[in-house]
Amino acid sequence: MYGYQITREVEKITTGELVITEGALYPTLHKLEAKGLLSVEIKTVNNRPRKYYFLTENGKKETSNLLIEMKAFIQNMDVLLNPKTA
Amino acid sequence: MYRTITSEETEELFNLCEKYGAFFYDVQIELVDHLASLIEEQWEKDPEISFQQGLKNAVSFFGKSNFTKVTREKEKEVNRKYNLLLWKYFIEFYKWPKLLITIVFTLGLLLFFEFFNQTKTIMLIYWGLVMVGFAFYLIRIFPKYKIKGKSGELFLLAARQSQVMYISIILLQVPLITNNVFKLNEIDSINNVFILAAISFFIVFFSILLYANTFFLSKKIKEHFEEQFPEFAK
Repeated sequence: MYGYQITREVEKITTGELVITEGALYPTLHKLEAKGLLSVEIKTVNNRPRKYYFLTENGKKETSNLLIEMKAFIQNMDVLLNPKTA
Repeated sequence: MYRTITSEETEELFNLCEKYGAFFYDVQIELVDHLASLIEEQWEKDPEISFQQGLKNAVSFFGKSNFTKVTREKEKEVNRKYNLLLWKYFIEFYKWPKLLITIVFTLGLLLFFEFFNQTKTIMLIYWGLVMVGFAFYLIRIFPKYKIKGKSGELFLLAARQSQVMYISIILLQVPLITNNVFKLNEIDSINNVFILAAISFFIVFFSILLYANTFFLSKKIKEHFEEQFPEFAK
């Protein structure tokens, strides 16, 4: 995926609930690239170069770990906010 | 089928990025594509919009301050990436099996200092040889690694590679400092074995750092550049 596509896909999937600003998106992508979680490839599309981002093997592992962490966090928050009465 | 950006318009977008402070080609390509996509999105809805009007709307949507913000953040990340790479390579010399080379050189230097009892002279000859070697590297070896854009584009990776050279030049100030320290203390030689061991350790430490900066990092940056921009690699 490329930068612009990411912003539009996020908007589409979340039906506009989540909007990623360009000022936040690119620094985050560059950070992940520097950490080796994303790899890049440049292709020419419509008379201009386009930079595509791909998850590396480390990136895939990190995504999976973060999802597990996030699910656990949401579960814990749910328990804290809605304690079941005995 | 809606209209897409032409080569001339792409060129105009590159110039615009430069105007707003995004000077590096490796950053510009992403911003140009983003602006072009925003303009094409407008053409999908209204094909009558002019390129200039579309561009005006796209810049206003993107935000002028984001041009420099994205560039600054990218510079930070590139620096962080290569500093980390340099550190990882350097630290290998203090881990097994490369540690053995470091120990051999450090002990060798210490024995040399003790045997000849001319600390200042040995250090100055050593740094003199390092300087000659570095000059040779700059003239004969570095040009092979140096990143050159085919049509004069400025690359962030090239800027980072040049930074490597600045660090090396700073490191080469060491002989002057060495000379001044001996001059200030009005001595030519040191007999204390612990001080000699510390000097040997630091000389080897600086030599590895210099080697890692000049040979390893420059080569790595060039490799990454060729992977990302094969059409620009000479």
